[in-house]
Amino acid sequence: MQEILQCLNPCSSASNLSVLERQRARLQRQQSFESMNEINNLSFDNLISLPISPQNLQTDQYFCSDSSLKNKKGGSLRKRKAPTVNSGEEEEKEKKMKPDDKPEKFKESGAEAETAAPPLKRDFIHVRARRGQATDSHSLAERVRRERISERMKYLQGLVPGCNKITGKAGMLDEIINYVQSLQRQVEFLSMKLATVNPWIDFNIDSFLPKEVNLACNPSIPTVSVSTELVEPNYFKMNPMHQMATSCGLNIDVNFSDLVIRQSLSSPLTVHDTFLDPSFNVHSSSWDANSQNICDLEFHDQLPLQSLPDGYSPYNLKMEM
Amino acid sequence: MQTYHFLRSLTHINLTRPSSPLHRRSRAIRRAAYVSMARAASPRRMWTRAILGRLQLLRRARLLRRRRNYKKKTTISTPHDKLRRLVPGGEEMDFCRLLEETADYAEFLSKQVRIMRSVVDFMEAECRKKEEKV
Repeated sequence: MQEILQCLNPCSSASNLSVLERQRARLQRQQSFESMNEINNLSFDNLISLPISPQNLQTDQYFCSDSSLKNKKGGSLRKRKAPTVNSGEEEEKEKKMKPDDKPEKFKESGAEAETAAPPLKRDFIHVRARRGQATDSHSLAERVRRERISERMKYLQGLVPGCNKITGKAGMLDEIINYVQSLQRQVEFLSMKLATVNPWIDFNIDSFLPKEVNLACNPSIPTVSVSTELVEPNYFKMNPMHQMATSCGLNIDVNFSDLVIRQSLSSPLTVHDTFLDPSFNVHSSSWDANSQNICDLEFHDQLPLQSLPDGYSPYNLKMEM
Repeated sequence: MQTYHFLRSLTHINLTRPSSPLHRRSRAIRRAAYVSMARAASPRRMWTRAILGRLQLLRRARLLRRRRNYKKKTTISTPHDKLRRLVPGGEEMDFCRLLEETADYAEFLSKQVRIMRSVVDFMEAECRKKEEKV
């Protein structure tokens, strides 16, 4: 056992330093890392190369639990001399030999202070320390948790505009907080604005929108597309808005910049929003095919067509559009 | 879906009390914005439930004619405290979950902002048109 310790001492310190360096530039230096650590033919390729994905986590967990099982079977590591556990032993000894090293978290950089880390000393998330770490369920869970957190931070980084340059959890957190705060402030400001603008614009759009639109009827969409133009103008004539007695009463429904909304939303969402948009947007030319179809669904199924009020015909309205 | 809910509540606000003071209306609109966000989002989300729960509390409080302070005061002092306070329902989650909720919440918030902006733009355009006509 002591022989092992002695052998490990010279090479490990050097290699660990280099490992630390590599961890900082791990994405660029994977190959050298791997070549140095041939002993540990672990699947840390997965860990290194990919940013965190759930698969990785799973493989990691699987692997760790597997090795932890192995290790646990043998009792304390130091006693077992089985070859499979050897590298684990070595790793653990590496761990214990370097209490002074800073714990390197695997995927994270920057300020680490904020994560509560009781197993700090054991946290060298050298990838090669993984098998040794596997004995410690706390550090396992800790590592998984950290990986999840960094995965989410990365997602948030994509969400919050202008965050690409910022690395580190603290900076990212601040950015996220600022972003959410600014959004909330905007909502408040816009609600005030709406409160001022609203009173004289009668906004009866929704009174005739059906509450439950069965978007599951999508399969029927292609068949129904014909009657859009005919149906909707009728629909809008039933609109109590036309009580406003001018054609602009109808137009008020119209000009929602749904285009803005629709275009900026991703495609799975457009199904939801565009079914609304056509109801407000009489300008059929600006509709997507989707919205038209969804519109068909809605209007065709649920609204009874009534006779047109005077002065309007569906075709006239269409031409106004 | 979000648009629908928001507009519906907006019209409701306008119809029921068009003469109420500005700040009350703006509060109601703001509430409507959050509720429409929550309705549009998945009910599995913590923030959704928190917002709708707040709404329930408000309604009950109004019925009883009492105002309750529904904000919890936590004693946890973590560096993520600020974020917890920002995201509704974020008080009792672990950090990992909190980040998830934040992402979802931020997404819906930005959508809501876009909706409201477009509504405002639209209304202003209409006002201008009316003014021009007059």
